[in-house]
Amino acid sequence: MTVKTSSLWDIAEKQTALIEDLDHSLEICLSTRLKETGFDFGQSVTCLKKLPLNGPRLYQVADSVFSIEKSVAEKIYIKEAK
Amino acid sequence: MSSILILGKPNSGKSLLFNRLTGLKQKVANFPGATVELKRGMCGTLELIDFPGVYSLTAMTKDEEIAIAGFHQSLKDEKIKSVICTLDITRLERSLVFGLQAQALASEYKKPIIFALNMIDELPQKSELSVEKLTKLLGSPLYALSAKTLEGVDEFKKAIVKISNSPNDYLPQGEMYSKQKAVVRAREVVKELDLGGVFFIKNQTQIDKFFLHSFVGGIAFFLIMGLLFQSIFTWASPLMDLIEEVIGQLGVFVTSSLPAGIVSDFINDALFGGFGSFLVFAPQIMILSFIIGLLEDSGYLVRAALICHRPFSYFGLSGKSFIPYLSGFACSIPAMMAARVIESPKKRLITLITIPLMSCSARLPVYALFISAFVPEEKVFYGLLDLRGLSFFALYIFGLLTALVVSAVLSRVNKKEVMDAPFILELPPYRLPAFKPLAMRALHATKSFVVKAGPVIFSVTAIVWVLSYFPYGAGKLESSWLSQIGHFLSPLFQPLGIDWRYGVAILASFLAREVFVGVLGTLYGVEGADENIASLAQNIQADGLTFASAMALLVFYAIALQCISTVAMLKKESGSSKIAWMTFLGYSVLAYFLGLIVKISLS
Ligand SMILES: Nc1nc2c(ncn2[C@@H]2O[C@H](COP(=O)(O)OP(=O)(O)OP(=O)(O)O)[C@@H](O)[C@H]2O)c(=O)[nH]1
Ligand SMILES: [Mg+2]
Repeated sequence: MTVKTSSLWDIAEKQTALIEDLDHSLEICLSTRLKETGFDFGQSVTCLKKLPLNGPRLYQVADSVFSIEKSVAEKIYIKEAK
Repeated sequence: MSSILILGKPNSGKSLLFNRLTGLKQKVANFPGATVELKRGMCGTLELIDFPGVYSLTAMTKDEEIAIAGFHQSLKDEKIKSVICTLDITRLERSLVFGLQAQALASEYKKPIIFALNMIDELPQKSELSVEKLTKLLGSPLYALSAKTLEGVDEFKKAIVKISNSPNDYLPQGEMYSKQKAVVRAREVVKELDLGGVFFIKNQTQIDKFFLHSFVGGIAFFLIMGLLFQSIFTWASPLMDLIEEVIGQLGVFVTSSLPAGIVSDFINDALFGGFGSFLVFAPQIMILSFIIGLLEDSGYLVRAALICHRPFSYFGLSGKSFIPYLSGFACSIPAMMAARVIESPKKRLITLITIPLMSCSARLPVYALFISAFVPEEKVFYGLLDLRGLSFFALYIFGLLTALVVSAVLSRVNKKEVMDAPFILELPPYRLPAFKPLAMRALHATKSFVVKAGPVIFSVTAIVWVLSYFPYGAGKLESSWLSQIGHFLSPLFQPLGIDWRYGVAILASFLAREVFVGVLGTLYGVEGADENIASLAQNIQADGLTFASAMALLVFYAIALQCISTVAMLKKESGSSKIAWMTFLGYSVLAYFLGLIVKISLS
């Protein structure tokens, strides 16, 4: 098993990253939905805004913006943070 | 009869298009999940069916499962000739993921799919869009249109008729992309089309910097909410005064032109005193609906839900609970339907149970009555704020805080580990709300509120009038039948410091709380015999109700679940009559004891 250290939750505001993998502990229906939402292998995602109190953050994927809460964003692994 | 389904990604304009094609007024709002139930309507001889939007044909929640099962069920039906799928041009890739899956599904059932490429009014350079190219890439008929400006809608109407008449000529062509293949294909299609889609979210990101800013955003949130409640009182009062004046004059005119006696007494007390007192509050309901509409349509509602998510989580709720809560300030019934936007079953149930604590518009008359009787009309904070408006705000906050406490208790009592759907929410663009449809909606809401509540209020006030008028007639309230009933019950209300007349009004308002004002109005009318109709607030002041008791009553009304329709709706949405009746009972007891505490501590 490879050690995955950075997740979507780790990237800073305005930073872009490429999705590497989704945690395998996620429910199938949830990881399917994430992929369909654009959080799919190789896709680039930008963190647009962080909210106070560890609130859900805004991520841009392709032409849409989604807010995702911590428990999910932590399970989306990224490859490189530019 | 031939029918057509309207499917598409949430917030892609299905309902607005449906309204344009059928002339109906299905709810349109700028957040994903506005439509929660099927709606049917006629477009010429074709029946159109507006579905709730979904992101994918693979369900993540129970509701999506039901919606998707509904697609399959409908597509099997012979009557369904074709499927319309809306695509939001500003979110083309996301729209296409569902669009392609829907196309594959339609193809499976041998039905044509017609793409409605919506929102072209938002496109900066129309020339860039090649409809032919996209049609070819998709292999199904496609029409560019704007449900907002109506551009292309007529042509689209003709097309759906033509296609539904010979569906087999328009079946999807080429390769079909279901499930995950649709995700990849959607990306390819958008790339080939090269619209520069990222353009669309630039503006929204700029505005979000402000509204979601850690500090400024928070202040903006409280300002907006404060303004909402302030306006219910301040803006509505001229209109309310006007209605009160007109009803008063009309009362005098009508009764003076009738011979004195029982008929004139009835009209004076029950009709003008009872029903009229209630009608005065219609403007507040209208303004409230209007402002809620503004928040929904501008796109701010979703931001508010985001801001609330963390704070609400501490109480076992979701940020999305804010959406039904806000609409609960107007009425619990649509609010309970709006609670379907919450994916997590447990959080949704808690939200459902606590929605009745939001101060709905039926409470407005009661609040307004006691506030105008007991709170002076004064400006505070250097004339910036209105004391009465603030009192209103305090009552709404009180309801909300009670809801949060109840939620926290419920979520801790019910520790059962349920699979909890996470919080994922799409951010719609900010849009300038269209004034006219909003105003129409507010008028409509007010009208239906009055029309629905009217008969109930009228019948209850009429019964109360009869009981209070007989056997001895006007001016003999203390020896009427009603008084006998009231005195029997008075031990229950005595601790709150209110006499039997209020007790009767409270009891009657367990049917529907807005009855309270009408009943009191009638009782004062009968008691006052042939005096002029003074305003109810003046009567209450003159009557010597203490401040402590008035506050106790307000607290009672803020909490008690006095609405049969809400109990019925709670039963339907929670799927359990036990939950509904327990909630009813729980809030009645809580209301009574909190009222008692207020009374004792203020005396
Ligand atoms: N600019 C523009 N806005 C549109 C157009 N069509 C719809 N809208 C807006 O888009 C938002 C969503 O419209 P709805 O009709 O409620 O969308 P829906 O697809 O029914 O959404 P759900 O019921 O949530 O799935 C509303 O704010 C509409 O005013 C359009 O052609 N142009
Ligand atoms: Mg809709």
